[in-house]
Amino acid sequence: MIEIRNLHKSFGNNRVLKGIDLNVAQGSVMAVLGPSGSGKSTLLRCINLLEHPQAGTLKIGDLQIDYHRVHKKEILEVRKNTAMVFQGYNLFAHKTALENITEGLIVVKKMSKKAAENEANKYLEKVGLSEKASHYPVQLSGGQQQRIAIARALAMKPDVILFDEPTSALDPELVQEVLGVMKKVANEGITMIVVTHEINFARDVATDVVFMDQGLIIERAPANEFFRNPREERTKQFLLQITPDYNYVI
Amino acid sequence: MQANELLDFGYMLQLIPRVAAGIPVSLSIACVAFIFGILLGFAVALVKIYKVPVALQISQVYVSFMRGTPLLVQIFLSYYGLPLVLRYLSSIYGWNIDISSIHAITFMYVSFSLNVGAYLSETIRAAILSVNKGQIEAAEALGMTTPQALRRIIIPQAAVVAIPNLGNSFISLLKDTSLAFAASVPEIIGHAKIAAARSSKFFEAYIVAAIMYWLICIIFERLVSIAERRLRRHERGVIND
Repeated sequence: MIEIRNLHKSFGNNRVLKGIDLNVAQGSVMAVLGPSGSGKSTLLRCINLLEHPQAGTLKIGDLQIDYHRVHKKEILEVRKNTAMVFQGYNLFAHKTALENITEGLIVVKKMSKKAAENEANKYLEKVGLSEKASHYPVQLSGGQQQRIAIARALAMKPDVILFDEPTSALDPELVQEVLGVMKKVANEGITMIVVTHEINFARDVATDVVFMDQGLIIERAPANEFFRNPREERTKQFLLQITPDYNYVI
Repeated sequence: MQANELLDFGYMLQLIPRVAAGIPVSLSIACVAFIFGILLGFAVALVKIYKVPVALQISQVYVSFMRGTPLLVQIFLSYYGLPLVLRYLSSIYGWNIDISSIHAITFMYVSFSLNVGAYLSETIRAAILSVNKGQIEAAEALGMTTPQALRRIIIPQAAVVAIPNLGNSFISLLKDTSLAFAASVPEIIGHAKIAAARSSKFFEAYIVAAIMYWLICIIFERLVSIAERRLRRHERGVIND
């Protein structure tokens, strides 16, 4: 459903993505792993054009764009068909939890306030935060904020949700509640691309795993195969580093 | 009154309604100039932030001139100069406007708006830039256009940051309106001056004028702090529900 071809992105002289090809099937949960600086977050941000790549093409559903000459209208279309969950939650600080979810529905989807609130309440319930509807972000814990952010993304009914290290900023005891919500979302068959350091989440929830290093995709495999039997030497080293006791040779 | 008394309090009391007659004029200059100043300052701030070619250079010259010349000079330029410019233009383009029918206060609106707009542009620019980049990215990621993100997300948050400075600017603008008397606009000082010229009790008249400005400023300080508290309600950590 998502097809990326030959994606190149540099910041000045720093080449961050050096030709990425990636297919993501409908309903799959793709975990993107890799050391910091490997370009995985940039890849995610290129998909919804928060970063503007120098070259490459993107296909999402019926939408086809050429990154080299992309129109404003196309950018908006891509963003309407994708949603993003940020590392720093980025909930609108001046809006309540409920308003954070209704905002996009009202402004972008042109729903009435009433309909948007009904819709938003459903998603608040889904992430288990109905009783926090009228709280402002500052009154919520990091984990709660991120769950609201996931509800905000879900409510837009995007083709794909992009998760950019959604648990990296959280206190360890709050990670599980967010991963729990993500797992629930994954089980509903929503397409997800998840840049993460949570190796257990990748192993338990992801259908596919992509391993990136230095701006390239080193290895891509179905999740169980990736962890059981990594092909590339670089992947094996990485897996050993992050899970020292992990035994990939059975 | 005896000659050795410093102040004639009875006269001061009499002066109050007469000087107060200038309050509506002072307030109208301040309010009109502030509204147009905010609009102008916002436009200039956006031009600077998005680096709009040509408009950026024009904005820089405008702000530099307004901050680099005394307000009194700007008032004179607008009071004596604008009618000439209008007369010249209407003779060229055949407009049928009676320039002498334009009230002096109109030229005050123009000069004060231009002046305050230049100062507010920097306040507003700094406030917009203070909004966390993540907030803008979140709005963009939802599919909002730049104007939508500005209106719904950036401006409400920038306003909170800007409000103390805006309040300051308004108060100093309100006091600056006293310069309008130089263009024979009957605001607070104008009325005080007229009364004092008749009685020769300048000290009393200006004390009454000073107290009047002070009281108005105290009221506006209050209003600003109420507005700020309202706008900052989302920053309170504890919820009362």
